[in-house]
This record gives sequence, C-alpha cells and structure tokens, in this order.
Amino acid sequence: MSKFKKNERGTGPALNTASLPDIVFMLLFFFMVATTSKETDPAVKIKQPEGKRTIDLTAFKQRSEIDFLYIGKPRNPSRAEDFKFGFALSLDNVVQASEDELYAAQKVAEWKLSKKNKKPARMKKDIGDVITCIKADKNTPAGIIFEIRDELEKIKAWTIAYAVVDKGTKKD
Amino acid sequence: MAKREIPEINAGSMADIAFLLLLFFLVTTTMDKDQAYIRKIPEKIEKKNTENQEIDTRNVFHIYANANNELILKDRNGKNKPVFVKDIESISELLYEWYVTNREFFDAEKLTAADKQKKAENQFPWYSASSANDYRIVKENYFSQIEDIEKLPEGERKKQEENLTMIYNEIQKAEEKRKLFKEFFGDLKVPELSDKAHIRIEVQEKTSYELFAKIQSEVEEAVYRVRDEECRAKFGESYEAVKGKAIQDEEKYEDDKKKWDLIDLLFPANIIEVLPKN
Repeated sequence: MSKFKKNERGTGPALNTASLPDIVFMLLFFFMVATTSKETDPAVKIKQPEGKRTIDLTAFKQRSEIDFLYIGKPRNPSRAEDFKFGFALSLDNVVQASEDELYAAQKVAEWKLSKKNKKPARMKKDIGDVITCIKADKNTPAGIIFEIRDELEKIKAWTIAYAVVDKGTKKD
Repeated sequence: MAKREIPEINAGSMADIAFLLLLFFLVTTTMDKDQAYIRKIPEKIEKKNTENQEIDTRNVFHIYANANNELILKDRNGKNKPVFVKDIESISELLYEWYVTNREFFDAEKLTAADKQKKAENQFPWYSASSANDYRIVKENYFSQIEDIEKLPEGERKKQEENLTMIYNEIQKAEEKRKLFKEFFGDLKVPELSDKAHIRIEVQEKTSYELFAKIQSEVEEAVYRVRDEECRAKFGESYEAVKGKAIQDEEKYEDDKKKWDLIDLLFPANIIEVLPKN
C-alpha cells in the first residue's frame, strides 16, 4: 500500500534557473532597441486627428532637429474659460498664459530661440531647418495654428510639421 | 597552506534585477511613432509693383474650408462647388487629375492641332519642355543681370542690391535643376509643371484642426501618387523607399537624395495655406 505514500526523501532535483537572467536580458535589449523614450505627458489633453501618407519623425528626433509644441484643452476643465476658444498652448510642459494675451502665441518665438541657444554648438542647425511640430487636438480652431505660424515666420523658422496619427495606407 | 575554495556566488536574484530593468523600460518607453506632415512657410517677398496681377485660375487648385467645417472646391469652370465632408476623399482624385492631365502635352513642337485645342480648353496647369541646356541659359542671364547692377549709379544700386539675394537664390535653384536634369536625362527635354501652379488651402479662424489635417492628408495622398508613379517608372523603386533612405542619412544615401530631389522637382508641391484676416 505504498501507492499514496509521500516521497519521504523530500522534493526532486532543483530546477536550474541559471539561464533565466539571460532570457530576461534578451527581452530587455529587445525593448531598449525597439522603443523610443516617451516624452513627458503634455500638460494639455490632446486627441490627434488621423491622416494618410505621413512622414515618420523618428529620424529627426534622433538628431534632435525638432521641437514639439502642444495645443489642447487644459487638464483642469474649469480653467478652459480662461483661454481663447478654450484651448491652451503648452511649451515644454508649461501651459502658457499671460494677463493680456490669453493663449500667448507670442511666447513661441522666445521659446524657439532659447531652444536653439541651449543646444551644443556641433548640434546647432539653421533655425529655418529645425522642424517645429505642432501637436494639436482635433477640435483646435485653425486660428490658433495660424497665429503660431505667424510667430514662426517672424523668426524665420520656416519648417513646420502638423502632427497626425497615421491611419495606415492600405486601400480597400 | 591549503587552497581555499571560492564560494559560489548566488545568482538567483539576477533574474529579479533584470526583470526590474525590463519593467522600467516597458513603462518609460513607447512604441508609437510621431507622424506628421512637413510644410515650409513661404518667405514673404516685398513686391514693388502692387498692381493687380491676373492669376490664371487653371494654375490654382483651390480648397476652401469655412467656419462650419464645410468644404468648398473651386469648380473647373471657376464656380464655387460645395463638397461635403462625406466625399472629401475625392479631393485627392481631383488633385491627381490636376497634376497629370496636361503632362502629355508638354512638348509644344510635337502637338497636333487637336491636342493644342484640348490643352487650351481644359482647366489644368500647363507643362513646358525644358532641358539642362535651358537652365544653363537661365543661369547666364542672371549673371549678366548682376553685372548690370554693378554699373548702376550709387543711389539706385542700393535698391537693386536688395534683389541680389533673391537673384542669387534663383541661380542656385537653376543650377541645381541643371545638374539633376543633366545627370538623369542628359540633353533630353523634361516636362515641367508651370511654376505658378499651386495648391491653395484656405481656412477660417474656427475651422477645426481635424479638417485642416484631413485636407493636408488628401493633398499628400495625391502628391504621393504622382511622385510614386514617376519614381517607379524611372527608378523601379517606390518613392517612399527613396525618400525614407534620404531622410535617414543624406550623406550615406547620396544617390537616393538626388533621386528624391529630382522627383520633387518634376512634381513640385507648392502649397499655400492662408487664413484671411477680416
């Protein structure tokens, strides 16, 4: 009747887990290579529109030839009334506001120039070639975007990018 | 003294450490890419003569979006034609047509009377035939203009010098074109879109960014289509592949950069975005 007798000699041989770290490291390296670091979550809420045939900006990001600015609804809905059309401009994660100008588009020029000055000399590019990427919410009125365009035109930052979500190029 | 055995290092927690690192990377990174449409803001040119210049409607592809997010396309007969958001996708078709219709009629010397009639009647921009040689002449002309400026009296020279940079830019452009045409076409004639042809996107202050982006998307789709067709016919490669390589590294993929420049020259996308101020 030893069929149900417990093994008195305890557990079997230990499972060799020596190669587990190797496996995990491999996974780790995969993710390090395949992903890019997340930008800080913007201070405004943004739902981007869709579009076809977009350009991937990764190459420009890697060479840091691109500055992002965000336009969207402020996270705190009660603040929305403070802004023209209810949309706020966020530069470097700070919502721009001043007493007289409600969404402070004129700060864009200042911000662009300071970005340029902060860069080390070997990475400096002509301001006309550095892309200014506008990430705006679907419902942003075009008026705000054109106001920012005017600001960029004044400092000769000619290159501009309108961010969208690529909805794929497959045709049905 | 007896050799002391080195105790084995316990590597059991190595996996935990690696997992922690892995999780950190999973949380702080993202896989989605930033996608966008890149546009150039055109430089303002101070024009001296402000008299009304006649604009040939065939050279403008006019897309107008009003404050209620409705689209209006200029009809080929010059009349306003409302396009509802439902069939916004047709813009790329119309724009494609606008680009290619007159391309076959580029060489005026080879046109039959019927072709000429067709070309004159339709409302699409005209193509002209030019070759590397023509651009050599353009360049020489500009140089002679610069020499003329030197001869002017002091007072008038200042005014003319302001135009110098503009003229210089023109020379650069002509020279670039000449080089590319020479390399890829030799002395053959090349169809060139009228330099006045442009796409005009007009929006209102309250037009939503979604519609604006949608228009950009349609324009990009049409431009991509004409360029891709040309690129495949000429180089047997997709436009996307050529452009992708050139963006990644201009020096390493020098040939692709040249191909990209050539295709963009053959089908320029002059996009003008305006918001009329009242």
